[in-house]
Amino acid sequence: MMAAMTAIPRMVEALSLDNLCVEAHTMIQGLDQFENGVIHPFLTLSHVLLLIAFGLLVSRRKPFSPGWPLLVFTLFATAGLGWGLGSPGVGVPLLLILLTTVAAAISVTTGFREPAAFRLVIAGLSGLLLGLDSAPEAMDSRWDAFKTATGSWVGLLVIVVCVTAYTGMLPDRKWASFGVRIIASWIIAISVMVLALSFRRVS
Amino acid sequence: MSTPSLSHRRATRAWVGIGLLLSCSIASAHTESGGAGGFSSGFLHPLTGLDHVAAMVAVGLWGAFLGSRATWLLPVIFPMVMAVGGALGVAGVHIPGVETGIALSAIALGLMVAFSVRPPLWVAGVLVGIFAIFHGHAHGTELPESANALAFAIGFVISTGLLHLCGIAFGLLVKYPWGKTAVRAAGGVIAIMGACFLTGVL
Repeated sequence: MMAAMTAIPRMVEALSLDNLCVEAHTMIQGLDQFENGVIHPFLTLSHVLLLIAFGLLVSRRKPFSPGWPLLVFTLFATAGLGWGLGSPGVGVPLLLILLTTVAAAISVTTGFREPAAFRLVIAGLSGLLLGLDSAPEAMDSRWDAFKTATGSWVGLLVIVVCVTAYTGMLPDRKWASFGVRIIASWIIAISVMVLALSFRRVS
Repeated sequence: MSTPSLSHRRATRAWVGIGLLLSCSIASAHTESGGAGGFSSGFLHPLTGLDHVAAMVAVGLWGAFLGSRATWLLPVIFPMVMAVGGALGVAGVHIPGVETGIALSAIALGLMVAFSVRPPLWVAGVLVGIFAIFHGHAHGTELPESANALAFAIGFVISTGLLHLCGIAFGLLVKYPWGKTAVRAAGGVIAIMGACFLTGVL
């Protein structure tokens, strides 16, 4: 209990701007493997963007029914993490994550009345890509790797459930709809910039 | 139903907000040297250039002034096209007259509001998109080489979006009879500022 009470402030402290955009699985000193896993999605820009875009996609329609997409996301995230644990070092190209992000965000921005299958496909793709990309790289102890992966699983779900829930609680008003669309356009803009910067680094 | 005192308080808050925005440094954000980096730098980048502030606020102002779908469409189009402009800047693609385009954006958008110009939605969208290219390119050419360049990109997109929201918030005053005059006056001020940027007065 005491460990849990001290863990949260340590993780919050680790969410400093200096640690933002950590793409590799850098372990933050002072946190154990599980805690590092939990904050990993929070510190990975591409993951945050996709999770927010997916959360907005799933929750913007009325009536609020995110059950199946979230379930599919959870299952595929679990599968992705398991796959990554079994094959350490298997990465996911940033391009795939950002394209999925843009696909989800475009649907939100345009107000496109996508079929339910589209949301489920995005859910599965998002879960798989994020799970695979969140799996820890080779560690000395498989137990440490499992703890980190479990933490990442928790972190992913915390973000997506929070975004989905808070967006779903928005009233059915024009300003709320406008706000969601504007935020989705920001996600597209940031994704485009991230892609451009990634290509610049490669070149 | 708003009481007169509540309306007065809202109007006062709006003017204070505009005053704070306009009182920021007039130093251009387009510094020659690098030195920018990180979320805070990206967030401050549009705010430290009055030309950016004026145009961003004008986009939100015009959108709210046009009303209906324009309220969200213009602030949606701008950041997305701005990102494309930013990507061009990052890639080193040269666009002539970027600074002139930025100044013209303030003039054009300000005049649109000042003279209550209500073009078709697609025209407004195209106009905003064209100006967004210039703004994005200016930001893109100054993106740092450092690892925090990603955070810089997040910062300046969010900052740009918040400026749009300031413009929208002020533009919503059009629902009051005195508000229409205030919004059109704000458009005029932005246009004059744009002219000052273009002529080098500011």
